[in-house]
Amino acid sequence: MGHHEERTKRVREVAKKALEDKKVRYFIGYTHGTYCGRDQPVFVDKPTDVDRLHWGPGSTHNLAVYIMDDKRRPLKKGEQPDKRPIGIIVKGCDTMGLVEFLKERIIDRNDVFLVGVECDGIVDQGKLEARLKKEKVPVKARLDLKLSVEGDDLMVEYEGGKLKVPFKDLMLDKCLVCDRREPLLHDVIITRTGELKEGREETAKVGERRRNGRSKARKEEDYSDVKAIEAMTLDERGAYWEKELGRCIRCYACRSSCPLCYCEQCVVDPSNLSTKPTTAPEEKARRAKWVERNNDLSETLFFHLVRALHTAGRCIDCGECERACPMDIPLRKLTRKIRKDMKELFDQEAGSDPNEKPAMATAREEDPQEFVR
Amino acid sequence: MIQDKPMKEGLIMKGEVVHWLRALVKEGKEVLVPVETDGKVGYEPLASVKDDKVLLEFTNSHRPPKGVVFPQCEVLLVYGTEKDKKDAAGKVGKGRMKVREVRPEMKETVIFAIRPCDARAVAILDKVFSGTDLDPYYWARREKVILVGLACAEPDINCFCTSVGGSPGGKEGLDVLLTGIGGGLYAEALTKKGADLMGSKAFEAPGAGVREKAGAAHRTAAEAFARVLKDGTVEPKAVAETLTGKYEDPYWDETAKRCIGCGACAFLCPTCHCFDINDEGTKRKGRRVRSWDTCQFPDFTLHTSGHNPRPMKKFRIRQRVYHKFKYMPDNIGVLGCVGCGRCISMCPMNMDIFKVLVDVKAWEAQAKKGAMP
Amino acid sequence: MAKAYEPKIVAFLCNWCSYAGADLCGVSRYQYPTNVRVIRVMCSGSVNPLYILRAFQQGADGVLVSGCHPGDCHYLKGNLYARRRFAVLRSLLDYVGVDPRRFQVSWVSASEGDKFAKVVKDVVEELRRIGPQKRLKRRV
Repeated sequence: MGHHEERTKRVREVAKKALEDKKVRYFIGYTHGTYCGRDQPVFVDKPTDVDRLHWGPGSTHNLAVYIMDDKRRPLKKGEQPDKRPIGIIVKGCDTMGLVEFLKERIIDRNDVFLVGVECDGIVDQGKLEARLKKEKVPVKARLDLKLSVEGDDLMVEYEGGKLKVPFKDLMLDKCLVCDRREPLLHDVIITRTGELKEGREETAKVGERRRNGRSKARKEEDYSDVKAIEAMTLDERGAYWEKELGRCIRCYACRSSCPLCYCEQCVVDPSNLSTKPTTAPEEKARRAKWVERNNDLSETLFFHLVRALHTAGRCIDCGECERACPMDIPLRKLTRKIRKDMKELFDQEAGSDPNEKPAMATAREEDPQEFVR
Repeated sequence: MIQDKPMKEGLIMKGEVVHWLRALVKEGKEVLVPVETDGKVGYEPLASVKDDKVLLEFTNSHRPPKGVVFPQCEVLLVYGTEKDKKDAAGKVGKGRMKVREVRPEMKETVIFAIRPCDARAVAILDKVFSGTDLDPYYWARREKVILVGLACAEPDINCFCTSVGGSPGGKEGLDVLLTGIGGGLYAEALTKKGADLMGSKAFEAPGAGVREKAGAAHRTAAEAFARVLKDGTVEPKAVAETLTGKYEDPYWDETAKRCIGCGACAFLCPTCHCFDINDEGTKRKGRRVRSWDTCQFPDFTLHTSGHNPRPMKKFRIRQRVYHKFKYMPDNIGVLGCVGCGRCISMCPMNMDIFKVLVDVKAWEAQAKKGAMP
Repeated sequence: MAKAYEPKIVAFLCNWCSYAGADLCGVSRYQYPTNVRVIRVMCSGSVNPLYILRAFQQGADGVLVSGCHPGDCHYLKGNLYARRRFAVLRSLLDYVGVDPRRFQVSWVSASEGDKFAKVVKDVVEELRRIGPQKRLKRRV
């Protein structure tokens, strides 16, 4: 583990060359954020700006969320469409979202130039900040942190001192059980030691590669968080979700941060009606309102149930929804339940094979039906 | 510098605080106190909180207590239709529609240990909901609310109240200000409502020098801030003027790129006050509800015609900054931001309004240089 | 005297099989409880989970979706898609604390009038025992 400096160098090299050769319109990557060692997404369109790009343990975000915005941007008057791809830095988990995009034919493979970076895990900002507070690192010193990885430890350097903590103590929960550290889709791979491997994946063989390439240590996904809730009684589950979802303020951050929630008009988002000047009045009048804007639990439950159902067979568990939620609702416990069901009931894993049909648009003769009378 | 003699002052030992608050509950008041639940601080009614759970040391609550005066959802009116009636001649008269306004009814509510930034935000909301007519729903709640502030001993990493005219010991909007001095709290009444609260025997006369010690504590806290503007604070008139010329600057496009339009910033902001009004129900029965909305949602400015004056992210990001730092200063003479830093802490993509202020101050400095003979 | 609790059930019946089966049931004078409100849809596969959740939102105590037997769907595979969808929905409802017995799925063919009566009787009995649905019901 480590070598983030090497990976950063390669990212910059690849971006510089692609921009100089005008192979891509621009690059979406990571750059240093404004506090506590976090990163922020950055958009680079000049080869002279590539030094803003970097790769590190703070490179959390799923940058695929910006793809649909780019696709939908209306052209300016007289602007000719630019058919070149956009370059994106992607981690293994992020590429699974892109597999779903390909599956659903919402993008073409040539719309994106993927710089896949092999990942060792990402820092959980909440855990890091709690640790800094515990170690009584002064507020001023926490602003500009330098994070690096040495072996199994995370080195946190701040003004006036440094900390060495086992990386797994400060990792995102999803990284602790990750079995997809290698990018499934790529035009270029940057390995964990900073080597550059050119070449696109064999898109037809991705599913096979995924099935064979699962890390030996983790053949099956660990669903103990979901099982813990399944083990409760019906009323306990009801009370649990009432408590957790009761905090929801219907800000729709979960929907905005999910790359796969790309519908312009969401059935359960009453804040977004996607009307254009050309929308007919009859259409506007006919539009069904499934949820009201008030945040009563009955409405909130409806929103989250429908959103979870729409992730069936599609959610790749990147965790951005839970990370974006300002009220710390354990959204992944909802979406992972569906993911577990898709595996157990239909032997399907979202994000693993761009050549298969979307799971909910398929059906087998042998699908389970013990619940049917 | 504290120079004026306060309306009423006292010193209460930390161990006596809860008894004082419980006495207020006995008098028939609702008292909201900060407690920690699942790692987050929130304000809960004292009646349901154990003595030892009341916090006197915390940076700030996760959500501002603005919901007490401006709840996320409130019913403005209800309507119903009387049953159709048959008169003596057997003729059926259609039942009339009845509309009933719903005015909020609240007990006198003390918000204990509100931070100076959040109290200052309430003072700003007071201005917003006034004008030629007072908003009756807001004021029905506001006149019942008493704010007992607790000066900050330590800033959080994203706090920047001192850069926008606030202070860890700021008094604006408060009825009482408490400052921790050793084992006690120095209490200063700032309004008659506040002085009336301090009748309890638990308040002793503060000794000599205690008031000065409180001032010194505020200054110490102010010196610990991580986020400090090098070129002085942000002044309403100056920043409004600087922003006037920057409306079409490509800066807003750059800054807006990584925003995903999730709305978390506005929903956790103590000064944000935009709302939507919706009718819920059927032709015969229903209610009109006001609920929080945000200019960051794409449809916030959607007209019935289908035209949207802010169709793109950059317009909405610019709007957020301009509303707080130009339109509010121009219209009501105050900044729309108190520097609590929640928007920075909550943003999943690390949008940073403080960074914007740094850039705005740089523009200000440039303009001054240019203007100098 | 207070009225005893009678569950309200919304039933989505597919036009080609289950609706015809229910019709046969009526014509054959089989008795079945009146707690069921029938909505005719063209295919069980056209039943969006939104409709089911909406029914619960409006206060339904139970929802029944009935379609053709697998292999007999008028549109070939509609009921197979439905089967997948409803398996996921039922499991999710259970997970968030809504009794899965409130959401029932059945295959009733056009000639199974007696089966329709039996399904409705059994479902109503079960729901009468469980009690009214509160978790998803719109409270305001």
